[in-house]
Amino acid sequence: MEKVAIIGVGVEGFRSAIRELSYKEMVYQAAVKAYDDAQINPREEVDTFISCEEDFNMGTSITDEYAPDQLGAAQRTVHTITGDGIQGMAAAYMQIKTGMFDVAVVEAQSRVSDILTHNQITNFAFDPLYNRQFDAVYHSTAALEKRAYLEYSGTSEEAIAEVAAKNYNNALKNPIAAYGVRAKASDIMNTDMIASPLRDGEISKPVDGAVVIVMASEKVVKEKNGNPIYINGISYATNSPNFDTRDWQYAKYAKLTADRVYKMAGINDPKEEIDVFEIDDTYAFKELQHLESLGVYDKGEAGKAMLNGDLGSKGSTPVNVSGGVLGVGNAHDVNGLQRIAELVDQLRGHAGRRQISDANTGMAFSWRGVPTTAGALAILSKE
Amino acid sequence: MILNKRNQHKLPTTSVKGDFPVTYHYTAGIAGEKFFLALKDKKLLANTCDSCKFSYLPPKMFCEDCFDELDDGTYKEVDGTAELFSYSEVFYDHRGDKLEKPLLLGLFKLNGSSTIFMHNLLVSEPKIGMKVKVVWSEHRVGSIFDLKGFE
Ligand SMILES: [Zn+2]
Repeated sequence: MEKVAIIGVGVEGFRSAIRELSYKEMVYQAAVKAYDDAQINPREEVDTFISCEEDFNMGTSITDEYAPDQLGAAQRTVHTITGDGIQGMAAAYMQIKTGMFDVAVVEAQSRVSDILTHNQITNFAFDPLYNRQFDAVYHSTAALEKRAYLEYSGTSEEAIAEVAAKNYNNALKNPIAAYGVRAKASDIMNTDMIASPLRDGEISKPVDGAVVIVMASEKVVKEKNGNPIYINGISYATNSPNFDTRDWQYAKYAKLTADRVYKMAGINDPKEEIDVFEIDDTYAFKELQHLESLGVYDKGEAGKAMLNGDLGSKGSTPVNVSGGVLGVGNAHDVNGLQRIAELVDQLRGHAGRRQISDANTGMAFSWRGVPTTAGALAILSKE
Repeated sequence: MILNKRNQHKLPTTSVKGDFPVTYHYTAGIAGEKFFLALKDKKLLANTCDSCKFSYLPPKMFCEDCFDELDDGTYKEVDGTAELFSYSEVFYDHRGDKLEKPLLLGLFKLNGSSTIFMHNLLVSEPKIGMKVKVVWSEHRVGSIFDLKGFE
């Protein structure tokens, strides 16, 4: 079966606010970088474009109508996905696999600094009849889940604070990260309680930014002779939108996704077979919960691995050397492509001071945030 | 060139403010209507899937696992006793502003149902696994706040 590769990546951001550019100009900048990296002319050589964005976050109804021009996709085949960028990549992957398309472009963008009422928009995602009426910040849902996870897994608060500190420190080495800072676990523990047991230092902060990814069939990869990174497996899953039927203790969406992707990529033991891990840490506890739900660690073991140093950049299972969502910033539906951009840097050996030696295979897992139970996973490799 | 314009910081950041009134009325539906109307009579209703025996509270018209229709005959009243599954003391409101008085939210496993139910937790020293019971509001109109919470 023909393989699908990433042949170009472009990133604009990430900053708490990109004030000087409109959202279209921001995406244009990321697109120009991606096409330069791929050595491709979007007006002639791209067969299908996919934009990941949402009306309420973009502030425009039918916002997909505004997606094409800044991607070089005017009057071409474009569709939008109201989901994470890795979900967009999965759609592109399937399109290339049909044999009808050779080059696909996936874009995701965050313009959260343009939203003056972001809390209310996220609150509006709750079920209106049963959940939305409670006058609680949306992080409260993550807080309820964190407590359920602590109880279920026996993970310590200390391990979770260490995750946050690790990722803020990792971000110091990443030039695209917005929130790199020297932090200790005790600094995290001393931050304001937002909704117990969730503290401010464990919650990722919003950023503006855009990522554009160019994907291609093996035929094009051979013609271009560039620096391809292959997609060995990709999928996505949702547990349940309903509070009453979802799993609160572990991330079932991660388990469902991993079962599909490991089969596709021929992975039997992710911890042993994968070199670099970029795993959603929108809230610090999520990194540990996701690692366990993805089967990288057994229940309750990820926190111990954190305390042993295994999850650090020099550990046996380096997780979020980019800084993760905490360190790079929460770019919402761009978070998956943030993770992908880091893996491509790592697998190409272009990660500078963050470089993990002998990085051949990496996995990127994204979660769509509160109140969703939606995740997407991709496994990339040099071969 | 764009580069010069981005570097110079001489351009004012021009923006236009815009907002949009968004108003809906959300329909409770066949199962939801039964649930909310029963709350007025201090009754908590659940219903059960014949195929997989999963009990929904609030009730559903169909089972999300089997996709079977849930029969009218399977509605039953539960006694309002529950076990505390998780909780959070919330210090900020839905706008992200500090609440004058923190809100205590709980996730409850109601006896007689297989689901998790979120509502106010009305105890001073919460502990996961503790037994609690529904507290009704005096004034009931067929809404989620016909329940005051659980204590
Ligand atoms: Zn059923």
